[in-house]
Amino acid sequence: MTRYWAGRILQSVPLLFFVSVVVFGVMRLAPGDPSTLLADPAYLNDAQRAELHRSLGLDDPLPVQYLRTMGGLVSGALLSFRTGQPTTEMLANALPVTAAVALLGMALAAALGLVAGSAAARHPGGRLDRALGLAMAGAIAFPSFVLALFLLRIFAEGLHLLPASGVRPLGATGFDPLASLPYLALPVIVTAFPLSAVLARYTRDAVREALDEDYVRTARGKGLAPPTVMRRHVLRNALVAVVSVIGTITPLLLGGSVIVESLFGLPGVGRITVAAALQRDYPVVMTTALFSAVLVVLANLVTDFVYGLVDPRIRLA
Amino acid sequence: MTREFRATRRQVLGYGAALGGLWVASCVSPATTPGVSSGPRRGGQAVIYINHPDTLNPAISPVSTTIYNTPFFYSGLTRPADDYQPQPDLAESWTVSPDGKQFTFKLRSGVKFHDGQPLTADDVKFTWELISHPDNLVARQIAGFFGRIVGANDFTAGKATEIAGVKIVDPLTVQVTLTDVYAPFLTISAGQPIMPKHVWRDVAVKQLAAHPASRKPIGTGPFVLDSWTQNESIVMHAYDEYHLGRANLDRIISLAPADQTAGFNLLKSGELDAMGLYASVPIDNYDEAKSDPNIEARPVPGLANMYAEFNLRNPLFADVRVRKALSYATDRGALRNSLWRGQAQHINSPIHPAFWAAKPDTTTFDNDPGKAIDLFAQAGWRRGVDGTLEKDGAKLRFTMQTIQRDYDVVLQEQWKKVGVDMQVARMDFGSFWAPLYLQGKTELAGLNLPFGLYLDPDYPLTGYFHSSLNRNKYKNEKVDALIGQATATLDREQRKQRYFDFQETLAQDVPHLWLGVPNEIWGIRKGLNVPKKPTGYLTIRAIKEWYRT
Amino acid sequence: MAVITAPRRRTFMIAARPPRSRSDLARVAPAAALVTIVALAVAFGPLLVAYAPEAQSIAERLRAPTADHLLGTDAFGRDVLARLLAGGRISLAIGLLSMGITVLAGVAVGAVAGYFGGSVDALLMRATELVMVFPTFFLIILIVATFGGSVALLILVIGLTSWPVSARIIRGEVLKTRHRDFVLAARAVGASSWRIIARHVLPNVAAVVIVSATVRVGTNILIEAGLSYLGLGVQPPLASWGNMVADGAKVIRTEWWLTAIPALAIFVTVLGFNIGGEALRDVLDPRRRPLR
Repeated sequence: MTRYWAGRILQSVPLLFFVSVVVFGVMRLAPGDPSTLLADPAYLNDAQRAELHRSLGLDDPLPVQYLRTMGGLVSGALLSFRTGQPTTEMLANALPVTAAVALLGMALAAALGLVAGSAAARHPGGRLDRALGLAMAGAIAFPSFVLALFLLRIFAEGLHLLPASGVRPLGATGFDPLASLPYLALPVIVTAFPLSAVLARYTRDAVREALDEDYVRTARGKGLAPPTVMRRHVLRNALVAVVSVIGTITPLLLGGSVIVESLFGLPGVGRITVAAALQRDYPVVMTTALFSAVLVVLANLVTDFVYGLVDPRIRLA
Repeated sequence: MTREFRATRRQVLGYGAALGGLWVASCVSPATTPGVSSGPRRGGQAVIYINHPDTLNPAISPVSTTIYNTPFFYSGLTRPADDYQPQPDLAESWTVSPDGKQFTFKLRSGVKFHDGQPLTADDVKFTWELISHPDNLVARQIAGFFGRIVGANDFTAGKATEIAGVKIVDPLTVQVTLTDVYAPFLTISAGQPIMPKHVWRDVAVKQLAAHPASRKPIGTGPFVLDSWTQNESIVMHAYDEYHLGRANLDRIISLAPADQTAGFNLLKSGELDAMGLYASVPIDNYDEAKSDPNIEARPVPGLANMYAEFNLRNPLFADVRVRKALSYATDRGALRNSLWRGQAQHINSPIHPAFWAAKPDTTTFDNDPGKAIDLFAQAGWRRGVDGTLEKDGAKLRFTMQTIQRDYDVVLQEQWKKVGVDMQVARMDFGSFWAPLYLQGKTELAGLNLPFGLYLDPDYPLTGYFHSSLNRNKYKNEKVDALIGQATATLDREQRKQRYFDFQETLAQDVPHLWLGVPNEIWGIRKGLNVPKKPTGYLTIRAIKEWYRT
Repeated sequence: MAVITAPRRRTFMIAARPPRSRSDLARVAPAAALVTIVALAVAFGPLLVAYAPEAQSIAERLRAPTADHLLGTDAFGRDVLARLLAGGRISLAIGLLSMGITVLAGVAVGAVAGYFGGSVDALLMRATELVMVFPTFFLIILIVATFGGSVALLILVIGLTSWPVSARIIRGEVLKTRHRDFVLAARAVGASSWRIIARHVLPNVAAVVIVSATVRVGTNILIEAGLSYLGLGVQPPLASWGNMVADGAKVIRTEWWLTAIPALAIFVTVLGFNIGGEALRDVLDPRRRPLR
């Protein structure tokens, strides 16, 4: 067992290597020279221009640059071209915000999805199932940025119920979950909205499938009361379904963070990444991209792990 | 290039514009006319939005965000009055030698940095040498402001251990000797924020950006930084011992909403007290802001001059008749009234309209399609069957590479009417700047000139228009000479004449199409009094005078 | 924005289904009608609109809908209806073509991996995982931000980043088909692997492919809209529904319809493809029929 998981973890090393090489490659192929974005080259003579280019490490052979970047990432010594801060520090500052929105969004979506999904599965083809099915399709089809615009208009500008921007009360520092809750409410709702529809579909399918399974029929046949059957077999199945998608939705959440953070003015990872890409701040892009990849790998591992716990049949597949 | 970088949707959009007034170096110092009236109430706080900087270290960043964010925390020897005449700041007075090449600054006594250490002439010399240091490559542009000091170039080249022309006469007196008369010294150079030697002395120049004090500045300015959370807020409180008198407000919180639209939402909902500079009220929302009884919408001339630059390497644009024709084909009034909703002014020159040197009546070849067609005809271009201009079988077709996402499509439509087929290639600043523009590979470059953040009209002129530094191969010896001559006297009237001459000469050659200076609309919520100033930058410099009513 | 498709977990045992019944048609009809209306509108609509989508009329900017401009005009005085239809062409083209890439790559990888199994499967699945590890939207943003948002690049990038999900689904289906009698029979009579894949395996997974492709179109339209909203996607003066929403949002308080109209277009179209996919799934998979 331990060996299996050790193997799985080792397998992710080449994955991360691949991701880092691709991101490095994309950044380096992109037109634009970061040294010219730091200082106006017109004010430097040729030697100075070359020196500035060199001082950013851009003269070394690409493999050397790559290795130095990765080494710096691991040791935390990698500095942003633009702000001069360690990139890991920038990431650490931005991460709690992104993580809070993503995790709360996922939790809300899971709750909504489980409830709606199991309700819909009760009477397949029934009115509730169809209504929920349509609602789910609608939720998935509704662009999140439009939803965000509407919510902002209604709750922030119209009713003044919730703040429109930021992540904590004015002037506050540090992270106080309670104080931040009103700030996170809209971003979390926007994040959870399409996600809950997806999870509801999974749940509905899983529950429906479970209800069809022999052991559930058997259980029913044995005279077990329906609630028990639901609890023991069906919901368990539904949970497996939800857990199984965590790996799939993590990358979506990270991508979604870009739009959500920019709409709600959150100081998160998505915002610093886009800014860094546009400024050709290679160290920052490498840091956030790799971090996202690690997260996705972790999410997949966790998924498999939980999956194995809940459903022994799949173990070591 | 005007807007500076904001990590956001709009920024992404306007990224072109982003990196904004990047190549700006100027002086920064804290603000305001000292000891105004006894009227303003003391206390309270203001929540503002003016875009955050990458760093708060003025010795390493020529970027516009740094320029207008550092005056909260730092002061220079001089600071600008509303007419841009230098006023005493850290220097309580100065004298000029009869030949105009030597300045002796007498520092105010008893000035203390935020950490309690006294300011001395040592700090002044140290700051200027830090900026001019051989290893401080990103600051070359700022170092240029000190390049006229005797021995400065030797120091920067690594041939000397100090700048010989800066003499510490006594702890409160600095004497500077220049190689020649250089008028911007008193405004731009002497206005550069003075940094504490005791903090920075032992920091290697290449480590400046990473030093904590680059994010938590220790200066002599009117506010002391409490905290800075990236993309979120900068919180500061009034410095009780500020040498020009404590600020009226106790606290300022500078927010970083995603973009101007988001910022305006906050202003409407009361979460923001003021927004301005590159983060002003979007022009599209001007009417809405004006009709809100709780908001004052105050337009001031903006910090970007929208323009298109002809690359004279291109034979098509080497012909002045074609350039003039395209200028005539442009309806600047329509541009102003549509795109900028009337909130813009046109000045046919690269000198900010708020400056004493701006010539408002410079000739403009504007909006006369008939003349445009005549000029094209003179240059051999005639309309073909499909209406497009042709010459020797070739159509008049070119591409505008642009970082502007606004006027490009308007020009395209306007020029189509006279038979010009212009394609628009929009790109982000990074893809535009180094790979195309600096390489001279653009055809028509769509960009904007960041101006008005500098305290002397000279600033963008040398870098953008002198033939030794410009990117479009424009060369007119008279223009080159006038740019130099205009800084070679301390007599403002004389300088003004030379600048007027420069502007008219440039306008006649049409190497650029000046399209308009959109206003910057300050949005100020009731309850906050913000003094009226000619530009947004001067408004921020007056931060000490802001008060709650 | 989380751009999400529900990956299909359910499987199809048999693709060759009994003839369509009326209720099957009834199930697919609303979605088909929706999608057809949108498709016809963007295909022929521009011919009926008197204005070119890029034509500006400064004097007539920001007009509310009138008889002249049925959906009003935008900040440049351009006809919103004309732009909506032209933008629809772009949005649909991106959605469909990128789906094509997704499906081709997904089918190729999924079928080969599932059929051959063993080390081929392991290798391909590892490659699939590689691509899946990328936070896709993130990667797209990175590429589009630095290389610029041309329509061709958008199609390519969206298509090439979203195939792994299809590949996995198809592989799963193929795995199930692989040991079925007709495949075993074909193998016994000496048919080549490629022939078996083409003749026996793929037709049996066609249902899954069709369903996932349908939903994919909607998803890809949403991705494009999100990118364009961020200013990274389709660049003006070219219209796309995403950049129309972005432009409209600037004046949402005063000219709300400039946001609402393109947003509605996105919603209706994506909804059409989504419920279409859903309905197709119900129709093509007997086990999923509601129990009556």
